Amino acid sequence: MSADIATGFPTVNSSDAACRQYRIGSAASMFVYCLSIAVINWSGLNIQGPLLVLAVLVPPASIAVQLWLTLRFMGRVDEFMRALTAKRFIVAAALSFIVASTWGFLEVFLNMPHVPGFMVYAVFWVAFCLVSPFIRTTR
Amino acid sequence: MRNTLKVLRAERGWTQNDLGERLGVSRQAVNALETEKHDPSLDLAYRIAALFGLPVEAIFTNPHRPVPDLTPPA
Repeated sequence: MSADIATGFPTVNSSDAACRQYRIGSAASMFVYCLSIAVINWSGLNIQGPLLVLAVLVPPASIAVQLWLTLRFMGRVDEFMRALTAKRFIVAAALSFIVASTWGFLEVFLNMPHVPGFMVYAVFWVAFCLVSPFIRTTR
Repeated sequence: MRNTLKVLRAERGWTQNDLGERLGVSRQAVNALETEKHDPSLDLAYRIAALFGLPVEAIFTNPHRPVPDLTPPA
């Protein structure tokens, strides 16, 4: 990063590089997430013991990496993008809580079909994509 | 927050991208400031003021300071 001679302020921001690294990292972690679920489903009950435990821990590990990448992205972009992403993140999380809670009550009291709890993560990112076009201001 | 950023930028013939590079923020951030979709942090406001060589309140209207009545007395 260079600096403006007159002011000493940075003249090149790292947002583009941060976006690129975030996209690549997210794609990689989601590939591992989907692949691990496919492998668990494909293997069925053929894997047992520690190998099964290991296989089951890969998807949540991918989620942890994805969330860490998101937080790192927010730390590297400028204040507007950081505030905008945080606002979208909070609204998406709130919607996910509402959807998950609502479905939980429906399952318990209205005998709706069971949906695995890990689906809340997919619900969160769907919510994030849905709310993003409508959240364009940090105010 | 109301501001004169767009006018100051246009006076210098800078694009939003030019100003963003000088401030170390994205073009989107400059656009959000100009269209009042983002209130700058104190640090960014000071950076903008230093870049244009003006006090912060010459660029950003202080919503908490009453506007002085400049009409001459009757």
